Amino acid sequence: MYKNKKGQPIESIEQNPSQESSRPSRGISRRSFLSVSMLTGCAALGVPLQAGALSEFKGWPKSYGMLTDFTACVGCRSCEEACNKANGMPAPDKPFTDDSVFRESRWPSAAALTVVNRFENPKDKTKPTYRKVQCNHCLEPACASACPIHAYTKTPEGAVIYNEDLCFGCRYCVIACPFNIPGYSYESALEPKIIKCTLCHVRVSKGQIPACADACPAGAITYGKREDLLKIARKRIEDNPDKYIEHIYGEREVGGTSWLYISGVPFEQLGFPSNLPKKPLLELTEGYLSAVPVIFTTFPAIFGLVYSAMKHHTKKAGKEEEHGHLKEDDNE
Amino acid sequence: MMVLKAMPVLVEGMEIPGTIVIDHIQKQYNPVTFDHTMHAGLAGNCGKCHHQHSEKTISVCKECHALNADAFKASAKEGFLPCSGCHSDYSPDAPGMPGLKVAFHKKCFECHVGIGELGSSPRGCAQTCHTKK
Repeated sequence: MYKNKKGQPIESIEQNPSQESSRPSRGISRRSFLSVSMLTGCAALGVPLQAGALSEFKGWPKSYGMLTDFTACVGCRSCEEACNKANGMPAPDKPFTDDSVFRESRWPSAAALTVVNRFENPKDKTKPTYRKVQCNHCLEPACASACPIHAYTKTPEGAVIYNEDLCFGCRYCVIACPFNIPGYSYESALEPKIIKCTLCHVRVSKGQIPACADACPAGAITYGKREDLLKIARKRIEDNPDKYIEHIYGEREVGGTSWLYISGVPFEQLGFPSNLPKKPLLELTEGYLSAVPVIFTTFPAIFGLVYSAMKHHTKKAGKEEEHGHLKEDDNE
Repeated sequence: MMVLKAMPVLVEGMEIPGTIVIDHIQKQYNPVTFDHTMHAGLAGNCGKCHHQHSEKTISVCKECHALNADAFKASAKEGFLPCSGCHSDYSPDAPGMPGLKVAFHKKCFECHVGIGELGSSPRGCAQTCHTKK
């Protein structure tokens, strides 16, 4: 069984059969990581990957996702509270009934996996629009492709989950994420930890639904099969063309995400990145990323050799110079 | 499990619940007393909330009425069903069917968002219905 650093079992990993069969029983050590990198580097030298050679992946069939309807959200913050409790996180400084948090724009971090921000509603100034932010669980996650140690897994159920036992703290995932989501816990330098929404993978594996969707009283967060949610989203837009803008965010962005959104306000006004490509970021980065193991393994060796050669040369030159001085002294 | 305490009253010859006490989350909040008669008067039409026939969500009679003459007559006489007659726990296999909690709140929010702080602050929930214990 997989265990985390405190020795508690990690159910989510164990229940994933593909991981169970292929992974060791304890987190990989730094040494074995380096040896794996070395092998990968050698393999990459011999067989370089070709960008664009991937076949089109439309997501796991029958996978689950979420649909957030911003026209339904009333900003009660029940989702934030439920998420906090379900993940056993410390209570925030301000209670969840405090609306002063809406005065500033907040973002998910190591302290909160999801936050709700308030925006002005240009259609009706008396009814603000609220935007819930969390990991979007991309169908082809850039975080997972950027991770050199494969600490991330896109599960067939839909969640992008992370194994902290494998992580060595490079934070490539933080940089790779097009939505700027993974939070980094700076609590311990020796035990790095990335923190982000898990789509309540553990709850789902027990037959429950994600805590935020369960808590939402307004029907603003719906959990279900992604293909069903797309149909619901399309129907809502079709039945209420004045209420919604004609865009399901996440249907196609970066190749599609498991978390989908519909809104009455244009998404860019709610802080969503509007310039994302429609194809997975993996296709844009894999050429560069394939070079990472090579750089990791060969560059230290090359620079190490150059450094020792230079040092040797400087020492030799220094000795010769010293000898010269001594001879001059003798002559005097 | 939800506990409803309903006091029936007669409106235009039809017996309807007068007030309904909803107390299934009384660990967190005081029970909510819903004045059904007042809301029925404001809505003017029972089908506005009890939408089993007025919306497009249910299209096939047999989804609710058994295709057996006696059973059909019996079920047709039941009139308007309570929310819990159709809505129960949410199932991800039927994402188009809101759970009971969402069914209740969606109806409340149709009118109450914008009244007091509901919709502009989490405090609105406590002001409108959910008084803290």
